[in-house]
Amino acid sequence: MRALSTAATGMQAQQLNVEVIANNIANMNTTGYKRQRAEFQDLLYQNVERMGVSSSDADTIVPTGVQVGTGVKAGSVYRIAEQGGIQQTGNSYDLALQGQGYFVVQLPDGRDAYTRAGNFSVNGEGEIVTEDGYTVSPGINVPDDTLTVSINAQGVVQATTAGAAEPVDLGALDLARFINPAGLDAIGDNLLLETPASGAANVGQAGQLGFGTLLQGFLETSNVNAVTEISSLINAQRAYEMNSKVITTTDEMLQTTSNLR
Amino acid sequence: MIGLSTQKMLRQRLDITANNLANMTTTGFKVEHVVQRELSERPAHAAENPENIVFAESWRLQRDMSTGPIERTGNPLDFAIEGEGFFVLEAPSGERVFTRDGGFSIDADGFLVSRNGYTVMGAGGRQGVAILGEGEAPIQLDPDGGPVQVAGDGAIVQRGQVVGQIATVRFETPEALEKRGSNVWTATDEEPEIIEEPRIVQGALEGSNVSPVKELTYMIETARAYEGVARMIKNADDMRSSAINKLAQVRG
Repeated sequence: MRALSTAATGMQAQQLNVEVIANNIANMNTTGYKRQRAEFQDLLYQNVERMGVSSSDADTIVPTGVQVGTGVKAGSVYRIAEQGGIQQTGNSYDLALQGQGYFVVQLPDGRDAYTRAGNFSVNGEGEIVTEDGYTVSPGINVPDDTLTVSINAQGVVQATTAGAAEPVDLGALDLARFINPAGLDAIGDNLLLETPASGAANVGQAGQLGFGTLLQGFLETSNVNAVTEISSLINAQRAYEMNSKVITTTDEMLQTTSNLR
Repeated sequence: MIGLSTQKMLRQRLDITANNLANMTTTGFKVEHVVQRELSERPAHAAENPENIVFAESWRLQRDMSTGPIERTGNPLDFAIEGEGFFVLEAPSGERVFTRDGGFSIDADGFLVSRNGYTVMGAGGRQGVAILGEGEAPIQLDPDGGPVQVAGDGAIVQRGQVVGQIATVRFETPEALEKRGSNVWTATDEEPEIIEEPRIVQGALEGSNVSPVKELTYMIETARAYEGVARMIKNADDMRSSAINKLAQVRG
């Protein structure tokens, strides 16, 4: 009986669904985290009676046939790039992105990674780096004798040094934009990589057409909505349960058959 | 024999119910049920006034084409069709296939593709008036063109310019479509008819229209019917064996 394996695919799919939801809930407080969603597709069908075949010598056609499906598979798990909440931190190197775009981070291996998490700091050489110490493109050096740093909505970094009346322009932070942000590849540590599906990075500055703006002293929270996640979790669990019921029922039917003799 | 044909049909019914339940969360899935019919046959060895023996057989599928729940995802390249219709995709073989799953993305050349990598076909013609066949073309977006806006009628707007038109088609009898798996359907005997003014929702996907309560009820019904038939077969068997035994006793 196919129902057994069909229900098993259903249980596997719901298990994946629960795993994705669990990851969302676990990252509810991760800066710049974007929630994920599992999407499912049906499996191949077996034609018991094919539609469109002729049913008589007079070329009459069977309008509708009988197809039996064989279950479900995971189609894709993708990220939903909706804006998260904005939370005040007061730290002058904390930046929240409002609108489209990603900060560009130079990985130690030379590649560029992209992130929405703007919790930056300054390293020993005075360079603006991420939490993991990776340079934030284009690599801005803050002088030693800086008193305050201000970063405006366009991402321009200005430092007020001791004794100087006017703040000094240190350059502007790069932002990148993608036509299909859902196609970016997550590598952990809040970092994303470009893929053929995401399209090439379109690098520009905050405030330009299509780019978001920056907010100093704030961080973007995750866009996970606890209520939505919990209700999806309940749905997934119920679906799992129902598929297991199918297995029990199939088993009972098989038992009925074997009890005939 | 009649019992056997019923049992075979019931097993098939359970298989289909199992598939419906497995696809409870499949994007754009349409629930289906099997309709059985009587198959009248003349018995081979008939006495006077032979009566036909009636067998049961699964005959055809009935698909519930009602729209599933439209779930907002927030992804700008997720689309749901409100009401009837299918998106048109071109498989790598050049064949036209149809889907209700509007979870699209963009390939390296900027073409709008489905999750399986099939090209999404757009209709030619001016905004709001879709024409399939002539002027039908894949939809290409400018990767640097910024946000993609899709109007309710399927017109794709990027930088204030209409760059394409998502086509949707409908069929007279959706039961005549063949499901291919991966949320893709193919036409068998019917030419699709283009929907002049499609209703498309951006940033949302259509859920499965499976009603779990109904399916569970069907399943219980099926299992009980199966049990009933099994008992019937057993009774017939007992009857026969007692008849053989009694007749043998008379002789002896």
